[in-house]
Amino acid sequence: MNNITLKSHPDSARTAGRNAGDMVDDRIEDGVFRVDRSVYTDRDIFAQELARIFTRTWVFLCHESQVPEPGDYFSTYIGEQPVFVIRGKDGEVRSFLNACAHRGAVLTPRRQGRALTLTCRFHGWCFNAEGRCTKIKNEKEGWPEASIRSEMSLKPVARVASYRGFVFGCLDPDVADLETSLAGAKEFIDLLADQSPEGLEVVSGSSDYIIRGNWKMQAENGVDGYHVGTVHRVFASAMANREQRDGVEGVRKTEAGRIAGGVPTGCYDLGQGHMMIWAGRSTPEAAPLWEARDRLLATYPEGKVRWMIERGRNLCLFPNVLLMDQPSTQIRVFRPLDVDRTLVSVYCIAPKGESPEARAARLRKFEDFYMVTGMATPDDLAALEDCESGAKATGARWNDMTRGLATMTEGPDEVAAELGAKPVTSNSCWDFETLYHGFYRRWSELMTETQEG
Amino acid sequence: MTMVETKAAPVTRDAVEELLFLEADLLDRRQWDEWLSLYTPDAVFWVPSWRNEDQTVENPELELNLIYINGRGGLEDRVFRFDSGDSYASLPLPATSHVVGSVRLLRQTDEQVEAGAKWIVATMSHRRGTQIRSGWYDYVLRRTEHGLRIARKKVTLLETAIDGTIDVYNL
Repeated sequence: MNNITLKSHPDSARTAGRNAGDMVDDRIEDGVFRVDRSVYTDRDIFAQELARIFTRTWVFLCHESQVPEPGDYFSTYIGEQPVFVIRGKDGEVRSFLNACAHRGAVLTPRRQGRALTLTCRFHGWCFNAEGRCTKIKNEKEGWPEASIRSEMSLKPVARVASYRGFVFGCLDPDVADLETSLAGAKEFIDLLADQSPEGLEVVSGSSDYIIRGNWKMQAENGVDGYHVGTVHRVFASAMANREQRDGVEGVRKTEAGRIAGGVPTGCYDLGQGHMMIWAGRSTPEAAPLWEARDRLLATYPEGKVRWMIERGRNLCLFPNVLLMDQPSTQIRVFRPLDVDRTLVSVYCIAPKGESPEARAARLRKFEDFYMVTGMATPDDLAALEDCESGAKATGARWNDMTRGLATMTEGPDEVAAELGAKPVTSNSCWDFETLYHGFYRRWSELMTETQEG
Repeated sequence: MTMVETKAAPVTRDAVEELLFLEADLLDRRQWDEWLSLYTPDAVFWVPSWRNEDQTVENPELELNLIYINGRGGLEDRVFRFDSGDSYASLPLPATSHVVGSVRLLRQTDEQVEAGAKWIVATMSHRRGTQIRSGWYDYVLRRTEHGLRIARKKVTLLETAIDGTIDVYNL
């Protein structure tokens, strides 16, 4: 028996007459919030998402440490569209659609590289890091009257901005500025960015993997505290065995306390579709950042340092990136390949200047949990892929998202207030699902609002 | 060319092949305890990630790896998880077939033997059907009173975007 389904069949018949506006059933005043499972399977919806979400919101592109010097480029995607980020001679970070102005060949031969001049390998046209066409091979023979170079610049990504070193791009020139769009997520990004006075760096080495599931499942799973005690129970057992066998101490401790429970947790709807879960660390002295505690306490308010060191956090920035600071620190970028296929790229991000012991512990914890070749992430993927398969059972239409509704509060709870953070709603357990309301409201808003032009 | 710096009787390629083929067969037959017994207590099992399109990472301590296990206990952790019945991705556990070839002895001393090989592994999972992966092995085999044991196994995996479950049993 071969159960492989590489491409699901277009099944618009099953959702005939429904549109995106019918797929988020938001009647919270009546205690109802549910999402139609065809948001994960419907090919028409997927096409609309690419047009309405990925072209009109700030999409995470890379971290500035991935393009440190003039001419350094990083190739990535906004939805399906190839783009690259490049640092100019002036130090400015820019981004362009990754398509030669002539015949459209992708210009960057690698994911990351250095080139103050990008030469198209097809016909030899040259572009500088400001996107201007600097050379057309045999231009005079082709256009004897006048040079066309000045009209042949690369198409820039309409808006590029960086928040605390995290670079985002948007194809819509009229989008609200990045800081406004990051809404309540900013203070939580600061908790990462402020870990070292020298800033953060993406550590050498990375991994890409494919989820045979819809991209929104990755967004949800990254901030789903509810599955941790079931799907990752076996990880916690393996770590308990290890600690007993090897007598692991200090930063090498594996910090599985969040899985076993018994620590305070919570979740936030941060506005604009951004979401976060947090859990107290059962052994904060095992955090790789613990060594910096005195320095941090001398620099920042105690409440902020408590957030940095004593609470692990998974932050999902709508629509395409997760910033994790749990046992290790991760940028997890996800890209929709198809309605039921998502490409995930994972990077370890770490404070510059940390000790080799802390760095090694951070990396080993990353490999144990976050790597697709590790002992936790494959179990997440299997669960998501079963949800993708189950979503095709058309008679079972709805995903309920009201768990924890009774304890949801508007605005910041006491814990968020320690940081001065301003979530739209707060909830007192990371098992609760009220954080998804913001994500699907933002989704619904983008999918249904009338587009101009 | 095999470099020999040994007073003891030199290890032959046949003996090395026998060990590598035995390891492959024990994995395919899920004889986990026998498989673990092929490793020294301080064994390193290393699958580097790719630093860029041309190079894997070279410093496993301070760069990110796909797998970096220092000590046989780390292999026991892996077996514990995928054999527990409690790992979502590992129930049912994919079946595997390892093919090991192009075995070469690279260097040997009184203490150890270095050998290289190439591998192809078919993994049959109910989620993805049968998938073929391949790569290289670099082994350090230690001479012990029980015969040759694996002190270090480096697996170079030729796959850009990992599609499916990969663990120590199907590398």
